[in-house]
Amino acid sequence: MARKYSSGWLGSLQLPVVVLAIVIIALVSIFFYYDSVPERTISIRARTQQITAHFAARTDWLLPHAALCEARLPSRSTRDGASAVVDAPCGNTERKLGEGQLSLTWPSGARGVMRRLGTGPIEILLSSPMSVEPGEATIGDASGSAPTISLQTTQQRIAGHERQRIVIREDALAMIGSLRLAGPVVIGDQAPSPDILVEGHYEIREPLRWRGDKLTTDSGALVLGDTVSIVDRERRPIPVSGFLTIVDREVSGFDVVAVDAKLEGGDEQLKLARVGYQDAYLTPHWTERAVADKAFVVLAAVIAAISAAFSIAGETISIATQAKARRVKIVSRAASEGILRQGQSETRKAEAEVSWHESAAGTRARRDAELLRRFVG
Amino acid sequence: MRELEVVGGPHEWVRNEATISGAIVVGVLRLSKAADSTPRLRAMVPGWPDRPLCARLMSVDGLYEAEMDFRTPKDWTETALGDFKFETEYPDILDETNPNQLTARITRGACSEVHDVVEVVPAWFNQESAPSNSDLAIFVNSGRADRLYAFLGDDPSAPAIPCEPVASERRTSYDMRCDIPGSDLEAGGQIVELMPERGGMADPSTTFRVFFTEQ
Repeated sequence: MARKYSSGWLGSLQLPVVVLAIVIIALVSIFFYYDSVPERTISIRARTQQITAHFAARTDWLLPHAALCEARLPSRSTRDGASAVVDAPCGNTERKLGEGQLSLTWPSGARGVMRRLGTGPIEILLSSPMSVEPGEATIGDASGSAPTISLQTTQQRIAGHERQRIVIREDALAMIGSLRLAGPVVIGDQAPSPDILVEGHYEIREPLRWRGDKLTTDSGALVLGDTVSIVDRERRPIPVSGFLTIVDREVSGFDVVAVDAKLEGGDEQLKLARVGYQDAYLTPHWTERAVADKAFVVLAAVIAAISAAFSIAGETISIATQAKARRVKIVSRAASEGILRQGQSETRKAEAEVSWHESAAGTRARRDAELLRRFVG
Repeated sequence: MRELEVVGGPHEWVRNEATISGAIVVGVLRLSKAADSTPRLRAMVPGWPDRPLCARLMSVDGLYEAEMDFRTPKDWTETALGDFKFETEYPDILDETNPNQLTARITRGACSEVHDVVEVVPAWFNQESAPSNSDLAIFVNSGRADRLYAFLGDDPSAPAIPCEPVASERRTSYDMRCDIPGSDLEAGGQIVELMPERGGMADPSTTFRVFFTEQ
C-alpha cells in the first residue's frame, strides 16, 4: 500500500519541477542571448545652433562663397573710435582677409566649431575655444593640426589659426551642400551658451547574435538645450561619420546627421547632457532588446502557452492520481471487508459442523452407553 | 593674521540643477600652492575698520554656491591678512583646490548690496597665502564669448591681456579665466575692464575694481 502511494506523490510533484526547470533555463538563455550584442550603431539627427567637430581624418570642405575674417588684438583706443568701420560680413573687431570661393582642409587632429545663431550666417571657428573636453588629446594626430584655407579669389593659401573665423552669408547657405564630418562631434552646447540644440532624434540599432538583421533597440527625442555625443565604454568620444547641411534656412540653426563609425565592439554609448539631469550614458537594456525582437515576442507567447498547457495537464494528472489512490484504498478496504465476511461464514459453517459433529458424537455416545448398560446390566 | 567677524551665513546651496548666475566676475583669486587644510579663505584686506565684506563661493558646474557676510574689526586700520573662517556642511565639495572647479570672490559691502562697480579683494582660496607677488586669476561668466580680453587701469594705451577658456567640461557658472601676473598689478584699488567678443563683434564690457595689496 505504501509503495502505491509513493508513485502518486511523484506524479503530482515532478511535473511542476520539470516545468520550473524549463522556465529557468529559458530565462537564463534569454538573458545571455539579449545581454550582449556583437555591435551597435548609434545615429543622431538634429537641428542645432552649434557643433564642435574633431577631425580624425583629413577632410576637405569646398565653400562656394565664404569670407575669411581675422580677429585684431583690441586696444581701448581703436575700440572706442573705430568700431563703426565694419567690413561685412566680418565684425567690428576683425579684418577681412578675403571673400569668395574658399576651400578648407581639416587635417587629422584638427578641431572646429560650426555655429549658426537663429537664422543668421553660418560661422566656422577654426579652433574650439568653447570645447575643452577631457581626453580629447587622444584623438587624431595632434601635431600639425592647423587647417589650411585656400582663397580662390586671391590665390592665397593661409594656415588657419584660432583667431580666424569663416562666415557664410545667409544668401550663400543654399550653396554649401553637405559638409562631411569625420571624427568625434559634440552636438549642441550647454546653457548659458546661446548656441543650443533645437530638436532632434537618436536611434540605437543592434544586430542580435547569429542573426543578420538590425533591430532598433532604443530611440528617443532630443529636446531644446540637449548636448549629445557618442562615447565608448570609458566615456571617451569616438568618431562619427556624418554631414552638416541646411534643409530650410528660414529656421534656426542647421541640420546634422551623425552615425557612429566604429565597426566592432558594441560598447558605444550615447552621452546626453540635459538641463536638470545628471549626464546620462544611454545603451539599451537587455529587456529592451528582447521586446524589440519579434521572435522573442512569439517565443514568449509559445512558452506561456506551453507552461499553461503543462500546468493544466499537471492539475488533471494530479486529480486523476488522487482519484486512483482513493480507489485503491476503497478496493483494498472492500477486499478486507469481503475476507472478513467470508471468514465469519466459514466460522459459522465450522461452528455448525462442530455442533453437528458434537451432536452426532453425543448421539453415538449415548447409543454406545445404552448398549453398554444393556450388556452390563 | 586676524580673524574677521562672521555676521551672516554661510548660506550654502547644493543643487541638482545648475542655476545660471547673473554675476559676470565670479571669482578673483591669488594663486600659490594648495593649502594643507580646507576650506580656507584668506585675503589681504585694506585698512577698512568696521566694514562689511561679502564672500561668495561658486563651483564651475553651478551646482554649489555659498554666500557669507563678514565684518572687519573696529581697529582694522591697516592692510592685514584676514582669515575668513566659516563652517561648511559640505566639506567634501569644499576640499577642491583647483580654481577651475571651485572659485571664490570677496567683495566690499554686504552680500545683499548691489554695486555698479564691484570692488574686489583678491582671495587665496584653499591656497597658501605665502608668496607676496602671487599671480591673479579672474574667473568670468562671459556668456560663451569667443574671446575675452582684460585691460588693467584706465590708461587707453594699456595692452590687452587675452583670457582663456576654463579647462572644465561643464562651464556653467564661469567659462573664461584671465591670468594676470602679480607684477603687472598696482597696489591699492585698480580698475580692470573685461571686453568680450563674439561673432566678430565687441560685446559690452564690464568694469570692476580690484584691491591688490602686497603681503
